[in-house]
Amino acid sequence: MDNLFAYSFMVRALVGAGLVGLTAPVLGLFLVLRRFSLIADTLSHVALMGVAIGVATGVHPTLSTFVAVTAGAVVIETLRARGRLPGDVVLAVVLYATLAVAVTVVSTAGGFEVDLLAFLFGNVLSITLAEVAWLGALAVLVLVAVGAFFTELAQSAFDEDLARASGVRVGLVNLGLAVLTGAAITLSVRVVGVLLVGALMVVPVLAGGLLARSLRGALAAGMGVGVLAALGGIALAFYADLPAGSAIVLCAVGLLALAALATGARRGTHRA
Amino acid sequence: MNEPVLEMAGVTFAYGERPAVEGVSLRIERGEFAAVVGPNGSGKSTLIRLALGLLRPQAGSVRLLDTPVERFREWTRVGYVPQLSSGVTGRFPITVAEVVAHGRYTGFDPLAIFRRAGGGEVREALEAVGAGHLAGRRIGELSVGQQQRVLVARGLVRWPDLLVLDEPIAGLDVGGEERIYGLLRRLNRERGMSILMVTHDIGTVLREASTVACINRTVSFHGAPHDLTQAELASLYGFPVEVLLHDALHEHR
Repeated sequence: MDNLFAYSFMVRALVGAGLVGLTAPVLGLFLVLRRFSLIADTLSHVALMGVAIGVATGVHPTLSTFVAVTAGAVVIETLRARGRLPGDVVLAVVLYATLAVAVTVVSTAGGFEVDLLAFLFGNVLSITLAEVAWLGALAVLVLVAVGAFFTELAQSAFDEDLARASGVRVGLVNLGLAVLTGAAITLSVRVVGVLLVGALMVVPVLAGGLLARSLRGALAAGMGVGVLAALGGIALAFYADLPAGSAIVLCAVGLLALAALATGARRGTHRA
Repeated sequence: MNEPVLEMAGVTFAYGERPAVEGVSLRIERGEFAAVVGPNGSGKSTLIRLALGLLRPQAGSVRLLDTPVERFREWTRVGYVPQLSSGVTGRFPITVAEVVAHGRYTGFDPLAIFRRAGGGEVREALEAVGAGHLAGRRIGELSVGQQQRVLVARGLVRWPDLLVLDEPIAGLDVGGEERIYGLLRRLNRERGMSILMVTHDIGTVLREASTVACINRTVSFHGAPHDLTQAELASLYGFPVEVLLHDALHEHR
């Protein structure tokens, strides 16, 4: 059997995917708790628009994606906070609008030389050392920010009014979370692709929520599941010759099923 | 006259076109146990949210602990127990101790994530509401009544100067109600904690509160409970209200 570690591109893929697996659930936890988990899907479609605009205008796609996703995150959070439209309606409107823009740009630009499929489904095997470094920097930023503002994030997710009446600046906290989510999606698109990046933010969190009782426990468990899914997915992709993005998400879903079985069995034992 | 903990002057707030509260003036003094009563949709919860600065009035002003509420920052001096009509989502991964510990929030603390949630203050507050044994449980696994007690503990954890409660006995059984009212009575009489409570329980208001405000968009009565007549209650609710009190100090009014 081939040694996965014998190939430097596979090592880069493992490190890059592991960093995304670590970072995505940290942000995803607070999005899921706020019942705002679909923001990741919406922002990944905004990312597609960013890629399309970048390629059509000659701007580096990562830069145009970051600008588009961050702007999208700020618009979504502002509209939601003003309360004129329910959060799910805001997400739906932004998702369809940006997807329509992406399709329009792609068709009017007469097709792209770059492989759009790589953005849709990810191409972690071609990740560069510089991109791994960016993912590492993002992971540090996310871990430090979420660690430092953990109480504020937790209170805002639990009950916004209660958080405000405790002195938490909920608007700023939510905006910060949205911008970090935008940055994480921009960088994660290379690993799992636009269509699956949301899954890596949500599925490990659901597994973590099953495995742990406390919020800190759920955070740690979600990170663990995310990293396991990412590393397992890369290995699965290498040995079974599968697309890496979908293999990572399949591993995450498998771990969620295992967590559900384990907790179900535990409850059954307690009942008996 | 004692110093006020809450002063509302000519406050008006509307959701869309229809005012929820209109021209409301209310003064709650230190050490007072004030109750706010009124029918459904009368603006009671809106009044509480305005008092805490969660809503900005379209007219009038609000002062909380002698500071305009929009500039108020001493949130450890105010405990808030929100209305909990539908309960916390079952799968929300947060323990009772973590929820109560959030009530200790005093501002940005980058090391808070490393601090233990079930410390002495948290345990004391939970035991005060008879929920000490629930500290390690997930709040979403509890009944609505138990969740309500946890939120009261969260509001109490800093032993604030003013405790604001929005229908704190919703979902509680008779024993739970009595435990919460007994606790509020002790907090008010023994610790001198000011209490502002929205409730539907007129009997308890007449028995426990030192002042009562009747609201139905505007304040129709504000004074001592023994001055509240059946005619005023009937006018507030739109039908005759008869209150039976099992208390030697009060006659059937």
